[in-house]
Parts: sequence; structure tokens; C-alpha cells
Amino acid sequence: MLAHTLFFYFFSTITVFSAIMVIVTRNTVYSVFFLILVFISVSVLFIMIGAEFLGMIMLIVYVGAVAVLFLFVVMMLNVVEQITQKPKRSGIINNMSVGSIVGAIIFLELLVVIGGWKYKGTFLPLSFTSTNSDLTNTHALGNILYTDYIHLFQISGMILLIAMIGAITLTFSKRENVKRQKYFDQIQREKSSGVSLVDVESGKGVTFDE
Amino acid sequence: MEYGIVFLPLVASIVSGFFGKKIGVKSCQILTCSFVSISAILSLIIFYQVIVSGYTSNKLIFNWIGSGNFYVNWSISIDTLTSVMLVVVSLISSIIHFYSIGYMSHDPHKPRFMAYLSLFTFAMFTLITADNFLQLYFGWEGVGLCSYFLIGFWYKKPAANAAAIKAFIVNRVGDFGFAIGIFLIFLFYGTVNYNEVFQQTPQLVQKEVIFFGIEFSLITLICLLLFIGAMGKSAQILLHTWLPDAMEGPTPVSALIHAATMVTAGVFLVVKCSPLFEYSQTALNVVTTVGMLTAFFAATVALVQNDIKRIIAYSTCSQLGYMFFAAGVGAYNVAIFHLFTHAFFKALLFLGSGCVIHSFNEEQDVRFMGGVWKKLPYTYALMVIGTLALTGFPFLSGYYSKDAIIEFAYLRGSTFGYCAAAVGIFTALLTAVYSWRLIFKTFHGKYNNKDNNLSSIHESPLIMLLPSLLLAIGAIFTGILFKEMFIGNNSTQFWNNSILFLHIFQHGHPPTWLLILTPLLVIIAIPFSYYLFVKNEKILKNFILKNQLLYNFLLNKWYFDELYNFIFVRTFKKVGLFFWRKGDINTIDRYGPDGLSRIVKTISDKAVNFQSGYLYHYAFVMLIGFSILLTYLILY
Amino acid sequence: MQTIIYILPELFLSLTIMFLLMAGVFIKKSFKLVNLCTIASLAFAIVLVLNQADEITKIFNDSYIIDRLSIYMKILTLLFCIFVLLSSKDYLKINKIDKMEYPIIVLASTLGMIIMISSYDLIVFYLGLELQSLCLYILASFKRNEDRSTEAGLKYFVLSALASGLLLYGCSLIYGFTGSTNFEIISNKLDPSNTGAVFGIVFIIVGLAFKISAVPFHMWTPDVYEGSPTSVTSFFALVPKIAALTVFIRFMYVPFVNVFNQWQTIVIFISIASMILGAVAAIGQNNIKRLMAYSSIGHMGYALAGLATGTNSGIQSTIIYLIIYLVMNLGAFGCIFMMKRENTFFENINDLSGLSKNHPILSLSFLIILFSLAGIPPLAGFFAKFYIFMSVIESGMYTLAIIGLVTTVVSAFYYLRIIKIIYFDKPKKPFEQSYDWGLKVSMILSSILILIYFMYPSILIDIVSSVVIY
Repeated sequence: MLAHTLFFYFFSTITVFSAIMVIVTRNTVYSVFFLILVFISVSVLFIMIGAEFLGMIMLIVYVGAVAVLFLFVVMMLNVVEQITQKPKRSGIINNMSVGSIVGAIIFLELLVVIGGWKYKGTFLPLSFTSTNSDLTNTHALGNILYTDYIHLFQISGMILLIAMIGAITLTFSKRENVKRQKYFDQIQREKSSGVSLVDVESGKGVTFDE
Repeated sequence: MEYGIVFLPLVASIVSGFFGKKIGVKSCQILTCSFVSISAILSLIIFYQVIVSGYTSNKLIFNWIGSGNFYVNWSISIDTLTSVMLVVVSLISSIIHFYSIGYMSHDPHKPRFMAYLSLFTFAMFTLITADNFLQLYFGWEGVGLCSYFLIGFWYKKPAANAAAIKAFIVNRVGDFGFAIGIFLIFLFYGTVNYNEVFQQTPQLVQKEVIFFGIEFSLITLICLLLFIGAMGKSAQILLHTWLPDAMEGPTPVSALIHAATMVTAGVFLVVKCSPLFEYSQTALNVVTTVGMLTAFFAATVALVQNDIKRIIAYSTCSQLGYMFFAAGVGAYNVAIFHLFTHAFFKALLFLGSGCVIHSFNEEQDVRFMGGVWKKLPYTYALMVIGTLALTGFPFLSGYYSKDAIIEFAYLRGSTFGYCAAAVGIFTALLTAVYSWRLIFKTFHGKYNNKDNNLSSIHESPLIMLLPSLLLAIGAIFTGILFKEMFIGNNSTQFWNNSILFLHIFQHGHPPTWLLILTPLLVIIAIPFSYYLFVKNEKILKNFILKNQLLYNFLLNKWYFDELYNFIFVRTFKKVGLFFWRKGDINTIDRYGPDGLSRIVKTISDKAVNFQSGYLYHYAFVMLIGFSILLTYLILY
Repeated sequence: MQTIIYILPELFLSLTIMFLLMAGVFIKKSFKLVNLCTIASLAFAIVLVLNQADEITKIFNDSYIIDRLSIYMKILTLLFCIFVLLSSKDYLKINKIDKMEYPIIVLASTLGMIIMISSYDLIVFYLGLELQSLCLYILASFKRNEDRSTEAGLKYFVLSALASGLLLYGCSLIYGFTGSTNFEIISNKLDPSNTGAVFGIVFIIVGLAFKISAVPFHMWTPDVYEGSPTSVTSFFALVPKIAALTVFIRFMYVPFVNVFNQWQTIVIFISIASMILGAVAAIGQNNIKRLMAYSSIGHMGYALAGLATGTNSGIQSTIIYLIIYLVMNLGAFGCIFMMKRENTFFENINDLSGLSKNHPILSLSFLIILFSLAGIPPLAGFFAKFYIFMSVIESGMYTLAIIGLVTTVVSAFYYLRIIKIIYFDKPKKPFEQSYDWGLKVSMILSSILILIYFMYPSILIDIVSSVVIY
């Protein structure tokens, strides 16, 4: 039990620390790396509470795909320029003070809630939600995802579809003067339409423009 | 048919008022004249039915208010009294519609004028045909409004505007009383429908109410309040000041509104409410007194006035006084009879004077007229007929009605009755004198006008003379024709419960000397005034010089205007100025609209600047708002 | 299989989206066709919704509800979606954003809203919300070669993400404290002593208030309204509000019914803030779309005031207010669409000066609509406000009523200012005549409805009072 607690605090400290670092770092590449660190430690936390499916998905999707994509994007931008640019200090300080007050207030209020929660019976213990221990996480999800929650699944699909459409509409542009492959035309091309035999009389040469 | 009577004028008015420019002046005139004439013919038919078969009806237009037990309808209710009024209003109105085609021929706003006239006719009809006090009040205010429009028709003339405003404000005083009267009726009867009110009245005779700390009998109080309204509309003494000034309007308007129809609405109201008034002797006495005073007062003032229309206006005032004291002594039918005949001859006089004014190129002062009776034979004849009828020359209409009033007052037998009879006789004499003064000053003697050549004086066009002729016929014959029916021995059958007589007159004959006295005085007055005003003006001048005080007193209309000016107008103006300068501009405007709008403007600028356009600002505002909500909820 | 009958409209719409997408890809220059098909399918969806049985049905493990409220609100959503599409056709063409994706995204957004309206479960609600928001981000930046439009899309996206984050956090709080995402179970488990869940409510209200652009979560509204293409702005101003308000009502009646007092205080706060800001900040605006943004903020404040009462009559007044607001705004945006000259659309209020000289009919409808927005009797806008204030006063919340009345007076100022500019300022060059019948129809229809509403107010009242029966 002690080890569990120790690991928990270890990883959560890393999570919080690197989450802060994501915001604070000037260098965007570092920032993305810290983000990856957040994802990894969060996935470890997930695994620690027994949600191994979520943890693995976190690793695969966020770290494996999303974060790498971020990295690509960031590397394509001109990072150096951004670093050298000095932001206006005065605005930051002003916002900092108000922002920290607001943040502190919200934090305290949440503390009140959580404090109340810890000592109240109304909060549901974790055991309430975990059901059949024979089933694996993946199995359990699979059991309900396509049955009870089929409509949610479908709506999510719709959302993804729209996201795709949106991404294409907003970024795709047809450029002029670009030679593209025309698959059908290329495949349908036959010898007769592409090649013509010409008898060349000696000494006269060929003119193509006829 | 009833719907036609009431709504045709409205339609004509709307069409010529809103589409006058589109359909042209000619068609406007034709439209309004023909529509009003049709409704005149229809009302004649109804009147005939009433005479023959005692026709009554109550046609519903639609429910106006339905709230719990309180029902008020728009309706057209016809009984004998209503039908008489309908005939008077529609006939005179249609005649005057025709007349004004001629009279207003030089005016650029003919469609507007015709529209107002028709609208007035409509409002008058709604007033007459109401079956409840609320609709009556609607018509009452409607005619007041049209009167305001028409007095101020020449709105570029400051005097006309002032007169219009004066008429409106003075009427407001009366209407206020009237409105309170209606409120009281609603309060104690729970209804404002005539039938129900009149039925309940006998049970409420004993009821007492406290009003301004004084205990009144309920019926008396209601009657008095209603009578205040009637006083305003019918220009009775104290509230009469608007009527002479109202002569600033075009003459057809004076004839229609300020002689024949609207001003008699007060008399109509008192007669219509006879079932109320009959139960309150006090109220009747007040009515009699006010009527007497007005009759006498107006006649004296008319003696010395110089404006031809004002003389007739005061004469109207005086005749209305007659009607009121007739009603006051309980002879409602006689009051209505006088109203009926008076409408014809007074409208005739106005139209005649309109012709005179027209001939003299808008000159209205009798001192600058004279000696034109040969140039204007028709006008002269018409005016003489009107004057004879007005003064009560035997066998013309005024003779029957006015003498009847005096007789009935005498027959009443009470102190008030005798008083009224005496005042009536004396006023009749005065009436004769000032009327003949008008005729002699206008048509006889030397030609006194410097602005117009004698040769330029011309007779009025046919379109003005013909309507006047119709009225002249009415002025001569209405008395003799309708006397028996209106006030004869069997008249109660004719009135058919539309008027309540609680105290039936003993139809004994008044003494013969009384019967002869009035006509005699009237006839004697003719040569007397001829002598005074034409033959030997010196006597009069000497008399005036000797009694300068009395003359000025009369010339200034008993100083009523000055008194009102002093008591009300100036003080109110001062108070108003004070509130305006100190209260409105310096306090309310400064801290109210101006100050507030300045604050709003500042806040608005702040709010606009707040929208900086920076994304992180926006997110920040959201979070701040969110934290405020959270904190608020925790503290709450 | 039984349940499929109940979600026919949703199914139909999603299938249409996919079908039209395919058709649009393969047919060239397909905007016209797709637009037409979209409108037709929306109309058909209305028929399908109308066909639904008139009884309360819950499907998918009680996570989806079909009742009167949802049916009427769906019809409203679909109807106004049709009108928005009808009236914006010309605009899209002239601004060269008449791509076939546009109607498809609008359709998808509508689908999201319909799901939101019917949601009876936090997850379904959230997914519907995301579906419609995603479409709105895309729409806002649809004119992608224009900076303002892109900026609008980005701002809306980032702020909306923030709001969604808060909303999700609220959902998870509530789930944590009640053990379920189902509305009914939540309503059984929630009570005022449950501080955590009450906190969750605040988070959820923040998310919803963001959607209907209530103060202080309104900051995106003016910029997005101004920056997006006008057709999108009109969509923003009309359709999403229906779904968001419906969810507001649903939340109040079902899951949070036991913590009504807490809910009420927050809603009153938001309502007052919105009314004041909507009235005050609009005064300084010169861009008519920006002005409409503040106007809609103010109007949402009034609608929330009705909700804050928590009584049946309050809810009804809010629904009536919403409907009249939609009609008025449809007309207003119709008028804005008409401000066109030589293929350019004008947005400045000063461009309207002297409009009455050249376009009497357009000015007249503008006049009617603006008067109605200002709440001047006997136009529909007056009745809308009247019902709200009636129910507010009935519930004894006099402060709210007084503030509402004062802000109404203040807001009348900027509506009247436009009228003054239209009728009394020097005329400019006339605008072009529009030949788009869809636009004309929606504009004239809305003016007439506003004008004649006072004759038969009972029709709407009857319908609405049949909706809310709990």
C-alpha cells in the first residue's frame, strides 16, 4: 500500500510539474516534450487505479499520435524567432496579479468542496462503480459501447466526421498550375491514342503540327 | 338603417380625410355631402316611424367592455328623444355640408374641412345613440375634439389657435365633472347602461354620500356633476367663455357646432337623464338658476357687442339658458322643442351672417356695415326671417317654443318657476332688441365700410343661399307643425317613456295677460330698436356716455375673461413656470434624463472599451465571472 | 427496433448529411443542389418530428427523451434553420462562399442541437453540444480568406473550448456526487446540502450561459457576430439559442429541481448582468452586426429573467419570448442582408442613413422590427417583454422587474437611433434591389407576424402552455 501511495505521489507531482512547465516554457519544442511527459504520467496514474485500457489508449493515441503530430507542427514553425521576441512585461504582471487572485479563489473554493467530500458519506466510493472483477477493462467497455451506448458512439462518429469536413473545408485550397495525376485517364490510355506511326520520307524530316 | 346613419359620415370622413388628395376636392365634397344627406334621409325615415308607430330599437355594434358583471356595448339605441336629435343633427349637418362648399370655396384645405365636418357628425351620432354613459362620453369627447379641430381650422391665425385651446380647456373643466359623475354612477350602480341606471334610481333616492366633506344626496351629487359637464358643453354661465371665442372658426362650423348641435348636447344630456334629475329637486333648481342667469347675462352682453358672429353666439348662449331652465322646471319636452326650433333659426342666422361676411369680404364688425339691404335682398330676407323666429314673433317657430317655455315656467307654480318666467319675459325683450340691432346695424342706415366699395358688395352664390332657404322654411314652419306633437296635451304618448315626468303639469291655461305679454313686447321692440339704432342714434350715445361704467361692464362681458385670467390663468402660469424652470429643467432634467443619459453614455464607452479583442482578456473575464458566481454561491 | 421510430428525425438527418456529402463531392458546382436538398430534408424532418407520438417517451436507457417540449423546440430549430438558409443564399453566392459544405455543416449543427434538445443524460447532452459547437466553429471561420472571419472562428473555438472544459468538469463533479449521468437519477440524488454537486451546477451554467452568450460569458459574441459572414451571424443569433434555452429549461425542471434556489440566484445574477450590458454597450456601436450581438445579449437576459422565476408561467413566458425574439431577429437579419450595393454588403449603421427615401418598404419593415425589438406596443416584442415582466412580478421579484424595465428604456435608445438614421438623415446612394424571394419571404413574414401578433396572442399562448406541463 505504501508503495502505491509513493508511486501515486511521484507521478502526480510529475504531472502537475510538467503541466506547469508546458505553459511556462518559452521554447515550444520543450513545451511539447513536457506535454508528452504529462500524458505518460497520467497514463501511469490511470493504470495504477486499474483502468489499464484508458492508460494504454492514452499512451497510444496521445503520446503516439497526437503529441508527435504536435511536434511536427511545432518544428515546422520558426521557433527561434518566437524565443527572441520579448513580450511586454507590464501587461503580464498586471494580468498575473489578478489572475493569481482569481486562480487562488477558485482553488480554495474547490478545496472546500473536496474537503467536504472527504468527510461526507454522500460521496460514492470507488467500489460503487467497479463491478465484475472477472472482466477486463477492455472487455467491459466493449460490452456496453456497442449496446447501451451505441447512440453515443454514433454521435461521436458524427463529430469526427464533421471535424474532418471542417478541417478540409478550412484548409484545402485548389492551386492553379499544379499538374495532378488523372488516374482514370492515365489507366484508360491505349496505344492507339498515344502512339502514331509515321512514314518518314528520307531527307524530309517530320513536322508535328499537321 | 341605423348602422347607415351612424357610419356613413365616418366612412365619408375617413375617405376624404386620408385620401382627400388622391380622389380630388370635388369628389370629396360630393362624397361627404351625399353620405351625410343619405343619413339625414334615413333619420327622417326613422323619425317618421317613431311618429307613426312609436318605433324603438337598440342595435348592437359590438361588446366594448365585458369584465365580470360590468358590460358596456357599442350600440345604436333609438327612442323618440334620440330620433328627434338625429333629425336635427343630420338635417342641419347635411345642409351645412352643402353650404360649406360655397363658403369654403377659396380655402385650399377643403377635403380636410369636409372630413372634420363629417367626423363631427359621426361623433354627434354616437353621442346621441349611446345606450350607456361610456359611449355617451366617447361621443361627448369626440365632438369636443372635432370642435377643437374646426375652431382651429385656420391654424395659421393665432386667435383661432387660442380660441381652439380655450374651448378645449374650458370644456375639460366640464368634462371632468361629467367623468366624475360617471364614476359615481359606476361606483354605486355597478353599471353605466341607461336602462339599468334609471331602473335602480328610485331605490337609491335616500342614499347619502360625503363629497369633499359635505353630505350630499347621491342622486343630487350625480346630477350636479353631470350638469357641470352639460354646462361646459352648452356654454352656461361660468363655463361660457369659450363659445364667443369659438367664433374664430369658419362660419359653417359656428352654425353647425356652436349653434345647432354640439352646444345642445348639454340640454340633451339633462333631458336624457330626466329619470335622474326628476328625483333631485335641488339639482333641478340649480339647473333652473343657471339657465336663468345665463339667459339674462348673455342677452345683456349681446346688446353691446359689435362682432356680428359674437352677437349671435351670445344669443345662442342665452337661448341655451332658456332650454336649461325649461328643463329645470321639469318641462323637458319644451326644452327639446326649443332645441329643435332653435337649431333651425340659429343655424339660419349663422348662415345668413356667413353670407353677409362673405359679401363684405370677411368683415365681421357691424359698425362697418349698414345700408346694404337693397344690395343683398335674399340675404336680408333670410336674416329677417331668422330674427323674427328668434325673437318669437307670432306664428314663427320661436314664438311657439319660447313662449311655451315661459308658460310652462309659470305653470310650474313654484318660486323658481315664477322667477324663471319673469326672467324669460325680460330676456325675450332684450333678445328682440339686440336681434333687431343686429339687423338694423347690418342692413340699414349709412354704408360705413371703408375697405370695400359699396358696388363691390355682392349677393352670395346659390350654393350658399339654397341651404339657407331650407333652414328658413324650417325656421318658419317647425313651430306650428310640431307644436302639438312635442308639447301638446298628448305629448307624453309621443315621447313614449324616453323622458320621465315625475310631476305632470296641470294643463290649465296660463292667464291671458301672460300669453299676450311676450309677443306684445317683442313686436313693440321692433319700432323701438329702429328708432334707437337707425333714426336717432344720439340718444343711445348720450346714454352710453352717461353710463360708461355699465357699458364697459357689458362690453367686456361682465369681466368674466379678465377674472378668469386673473384667478386661474396667471397663477397657473406662474406655478407652471416655476415648476418648469426650477423643477423640470434644474432638477428633473439635470439629474433625470440628462444626467442619466450622460451616465449611460459613460458606462457604454467603458463597456465598449472593455471589449479589447484580446482572446486572453475574454477568457479571463469568463473565469472572473465564473469565480464570482462560485464565491457568491458559497457565501449565499 | 422499436426505438428507431423515435429517433427517425435524427437518423434521417444524419443519413442526409452523409448522402449529401457524397453527392456534393461527385457532382460539380453542387452548392445549389445541396442547399435545396438540405432545406427539403429539414422540412421533411419537421414532418417526421410532427409525426412523433404525443406522449413522453424515454429511450436508450432513459438517456433520450421525446416529449412536448422537445418536439416543439425541434420544430422551432428546424424551421428557423430553414429560414436562415433561405435568406442567406444570395449572400453566400456574392461572397463566394457558396460551397456545398456550408449547408451540410449547418445540417450537422442542427442535428447536434436536436440531440441536445432531446438529451436526458449528461453525456448525450455534452455530445450534442459538441457536435453543434464544432459546426459553429467551422461556420464562423467559413470565409477563410478574410482575417476577421478566421479570427472569429478562432476566438469562438478557444473560448468555447474553455467553456466546454468547465462544463465537463461540472458534469464530472455531478457524476461523482450522484453516481449517474442520467437526469432523473441526478434529480433524486441531488440536494442543497451536497456542496460538490451544487458547484457542478455553477460549472454547467457557465457552459450553457456561454452558448446563449449571457454576461459574463458573452465576450466572444460581438467579435464573432461581427467577424463571421452575415449568413453565419444570423444562424448564430437564431438557432443555437433555441437548443441552449431548452437545455436550460430541462436542467431546471429535471436534474436540478431540488437545488432550485442555488440555480435561481445564479440565473438572476446572469440575467441582470446581461440585461444591463446588452442595453448599455450597444449604444456605442456603429456596426449593425455588433449591435445585434449586444441586442441579443440583452434579449437573452430577459429570457433568463423569465426562467429565473422557476414558475410554469415564467417558463412559458420565456418560450414565448424566445419565439418572438427569433421572429424579430429573422426579420432584422433579413434587413441586414438587404444592405447590398454592387456586390458588397454594408454593415455600418451610417450606411442606412436616409434609407426611407429610396426604400420605403424595406425601411418600414426595419421600423417595425426595431420598434418591436425595443418593445413598443402593440408589436409582438412588447408582448414578449410584457409576459416576462408579468411572471417576474407575479413571483415577487421586483428588483429584477425594475432593472428589466429600466434597461428596456435604455435599450430603446439605440433602436430608435437606427430609426432616426433611416428616416431623418440625408439619403445615400440607394441599395440594390434584391431578387432573392427566400430573403424577401422571411423578411416580410417576420414583419407581418410582428405586426399582427397582438390580434391573436392566444394562439401562441395556447400552444406554449400545452408544452410545459410538469
